[in-house]
Amino acid sequence: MANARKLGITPTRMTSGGTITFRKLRVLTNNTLAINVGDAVKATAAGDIVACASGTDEQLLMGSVAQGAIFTDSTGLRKEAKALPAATTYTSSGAWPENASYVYTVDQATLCEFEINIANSAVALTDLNLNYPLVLTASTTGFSKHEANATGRATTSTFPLRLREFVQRADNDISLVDCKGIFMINAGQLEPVTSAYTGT
Amino acid sequence: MENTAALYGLIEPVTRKYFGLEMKAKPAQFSQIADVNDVDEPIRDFVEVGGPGMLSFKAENAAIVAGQIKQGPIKRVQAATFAGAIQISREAVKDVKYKKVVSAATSIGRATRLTPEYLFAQFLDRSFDSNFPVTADGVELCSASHLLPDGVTTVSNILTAAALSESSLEDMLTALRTVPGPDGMLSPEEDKQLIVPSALHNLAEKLNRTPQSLGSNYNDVSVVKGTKVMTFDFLTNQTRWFIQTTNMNGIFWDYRERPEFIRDNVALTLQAVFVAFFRAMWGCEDFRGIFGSNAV
Repeated sequence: MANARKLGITPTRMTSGGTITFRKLRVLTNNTLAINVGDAVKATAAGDIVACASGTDEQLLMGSVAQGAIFTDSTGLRKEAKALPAATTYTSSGAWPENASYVYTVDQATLCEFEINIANSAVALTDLNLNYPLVLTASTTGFSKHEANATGRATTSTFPLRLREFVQRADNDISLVDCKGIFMINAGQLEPVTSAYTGT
Repeated sequence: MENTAALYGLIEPVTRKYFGLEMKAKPAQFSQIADVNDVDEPIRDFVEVGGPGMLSFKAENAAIVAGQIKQGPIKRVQAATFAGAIQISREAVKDVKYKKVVSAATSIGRATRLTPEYLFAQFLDRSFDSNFPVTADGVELCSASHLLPDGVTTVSNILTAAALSESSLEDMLTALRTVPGPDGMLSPEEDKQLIVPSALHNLAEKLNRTPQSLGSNYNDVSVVKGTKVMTFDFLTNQTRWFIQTTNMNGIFWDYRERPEFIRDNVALTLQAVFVAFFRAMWGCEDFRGIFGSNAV
């Protein structure tokens, strides 16, 4: 049967065992892109995080995956939600102000295994253990439209993802396009051990 | 609440109740097709044994001509585990977010209830796919090439590409009566139920209920009236249909462990974790248990 195209990046398990935990990271005021649940995020040189955007981010390091947000809305109401809307503003100073926007991201992201839709073509056994770029379609629904891209895989060593396993589930036909794969971050930003982000 | 164990004490009755309620929300469809058993072994082996065939004439004082009993290929299926988990934070419990807890427990209950349906539907959807051999003779569930233990004779349990209709159903019921047993002698089967996907439900019901031939001007009698209809809504393919026979050794679903909902332990997260899982294996011992039409 044809696979349903399921978008967004879903943390599924820690490769070391245990439960998935989250870390709160700051988003600067007036964020350009919304950060949806399941979006890939990246750290900037300013210490904040932003949603990965279509274009060069698709083939560069990713930091983690957003799983919720806390922010102050336009009426001044402090709220927790699954997504941080674009252009959320606040006025404050300091490194970690209370009224700032924050996103809950998957902690130990390089040790987390993510389920991601593989777009554009079917996978074969030889596609396992290869590096994959992302497709970073913007979303305004609160739910991410990010997915892995089968096109151009294994052409660059620093692509953000690596396919580790196929999802074995009755609703996933591994031989067809939009197969779901279990990925780990291939080139991450936020974890000290595997960091390739220099901060400069 | 002095530790996480106390957290479980607060919410386990709630999660267990709503998991259980969801599990019982609707009766399973797959269990109306498969013979569901609880088993002690995580494997199931099956083999067809044929022979000796028809008995021979023995003249007075002559020695008996003893036929030979032949063993066909062996098939083994193994139980597989399917599992999911929910994590509930201490904060959610302390803030009395019981609706969130109920929603999580209900969701995993629904997942646990429906996963066997999807797995079994996948099993039937692969009936005509040679990449998925099911029976001991090493071919797909519905095949024109089922092999008898003699290693030579092939037997079919398909009606090739015939859309469901009164005449194709008649043909299928006739085909059931011509199937040989493992020894090569005739082993007529009788229909137990007609298995159809959602799209064929209405047509199947018409065939089941009308006493006369559908669309006929001549008051012809329908001989397929009363064929029990089992609509399996989880089937993906919407054109194929099957007749399950009364064969006792047909399609099985063996639970090594029925769906369970248990606590799991995590450290240093202030979370309660619950795991739902089951262990099961499924397959078909005797291909005479089901006949299919690979209609497109």
